[in-house]
Amino acid sequence: MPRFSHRALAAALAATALVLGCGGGNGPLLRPETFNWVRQPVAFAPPPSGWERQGDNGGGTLGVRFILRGGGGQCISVTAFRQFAERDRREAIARLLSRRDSLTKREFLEELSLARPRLDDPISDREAAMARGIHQDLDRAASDYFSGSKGFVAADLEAALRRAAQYEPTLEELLPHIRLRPDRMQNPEWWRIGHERDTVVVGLPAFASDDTLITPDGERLLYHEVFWVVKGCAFKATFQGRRDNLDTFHRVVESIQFPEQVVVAAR
Amino acid sequence: MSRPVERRLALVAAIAACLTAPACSRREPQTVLVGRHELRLVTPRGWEHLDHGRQQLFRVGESELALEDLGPATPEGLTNELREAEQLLHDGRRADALARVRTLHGLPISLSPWQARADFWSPWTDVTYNPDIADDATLGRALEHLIRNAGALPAVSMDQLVEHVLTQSHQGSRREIARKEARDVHGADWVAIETWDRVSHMNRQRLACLEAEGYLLTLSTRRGQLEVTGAAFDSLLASIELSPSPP
Repeated sequence: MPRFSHRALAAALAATALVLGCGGGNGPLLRPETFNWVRQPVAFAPPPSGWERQGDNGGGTLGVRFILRGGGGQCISVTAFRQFAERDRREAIARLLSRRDSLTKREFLEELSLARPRLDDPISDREAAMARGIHQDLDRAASDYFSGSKGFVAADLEAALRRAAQYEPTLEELLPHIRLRPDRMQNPEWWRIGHERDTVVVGLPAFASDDTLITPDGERLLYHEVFWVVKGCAFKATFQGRRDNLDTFHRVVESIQFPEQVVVAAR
Repeated sequence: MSRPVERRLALVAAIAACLTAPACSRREPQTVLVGRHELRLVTPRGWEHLDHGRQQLFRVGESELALEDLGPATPEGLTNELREAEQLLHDGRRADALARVRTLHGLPISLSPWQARADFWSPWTDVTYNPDIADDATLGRALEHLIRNAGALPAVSMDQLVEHVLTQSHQGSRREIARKEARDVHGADWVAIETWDRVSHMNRQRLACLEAEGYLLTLSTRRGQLEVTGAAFDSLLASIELSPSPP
């Protein structure tokens, strides 16, 4: 075989490795995308194409998970805590307020019941007090509706809306509900809590935790989480994997932004 | 010219011929009636076309595109429907006229508050609560009143049209608009939309809608991955040419 063929083969292999590397686990991030999982949008640059995307809708969260192809369970995820975001009834009360004169009696009463905040398992004492107050305002709106006092109905709904707007849960209030607690997991022995700290990530107060996940076959994977609460909405970025892919997670986290809400959804 | 150069030129010419062949063997457009809309279109190569009247289906394997007339989209379209019911009544086809009004629907009505909807229908419901009692003259007057009411309904915005189309095409729930653009196709102002899964931004699908002479025409992806349906959707949309309505 002529000598240049070896060189050509080596060059081809190098080029192939380069191409595979670019599309693999540690290449440049993809173009940023904005996700509207909850009232507060979140934007970030997803990891390279070597990480396969999946929707993540379970355990009270809504988000997207990127699983490294051939990575043995390594993944990066960004999620919003839908279960807490849905406790905020501002949107439902405002919608009822704007449509109250267009609704039939049955529709009005149905929307009124949907506007009521949950009273069970409150996030905090502040939230419990707010929810009780809104229920009282909506009870008054119902009785004024039945007595035909439309002006009073509007005033009651406005009072409920003002009360709902006065409360937004904080990171401190939500953290006990959302941080990793091995005793709450199905297999507590798989988790080792490591370095936990209050910090600032992408310019916002955050709680970060560098833990360890011990897989059933004994492999120890890094399990890093970052939590934020922005305008009352909680978010989490998670890395589960080996140290050589940690940089990709850090780059995804650094790309996270919480833009102003824009109406793009068509539901 | 040396032989290697000649060979390369021949290869380039062969590749160019292969690339341009589909364009040269262009398929003839066919004329179809989609509900109210008479139009010409070219079925994408390799796709099957099923003519279901208001709904034209295009299929290949598990993928399916649908070109549909979604009915009156403006007060003008509603007025047109009512005038046709009026004509049926004048022609002595009373039962057909009654059925035509009973099944009347349209965005300007459905988007109105309930009181406005009740006011719109009251001239008709007042005389048809017992259709056997109302004579043709009474029905005719009620229809005239309905036509006046239809003309007074508020116009529907393009955003409302798009939202309605997304709901009708089952792309509304759990999906959001990834991209929206105006597209001029043979002089018609289409709105082309790409939607994706709200959670993961995966499973992109295309949709286009057009308001023509008061009626809503849509082209939507009913089934299939964008990799299969995307090119066919674009070529089908680009081929649609509405026939001018008779004066």
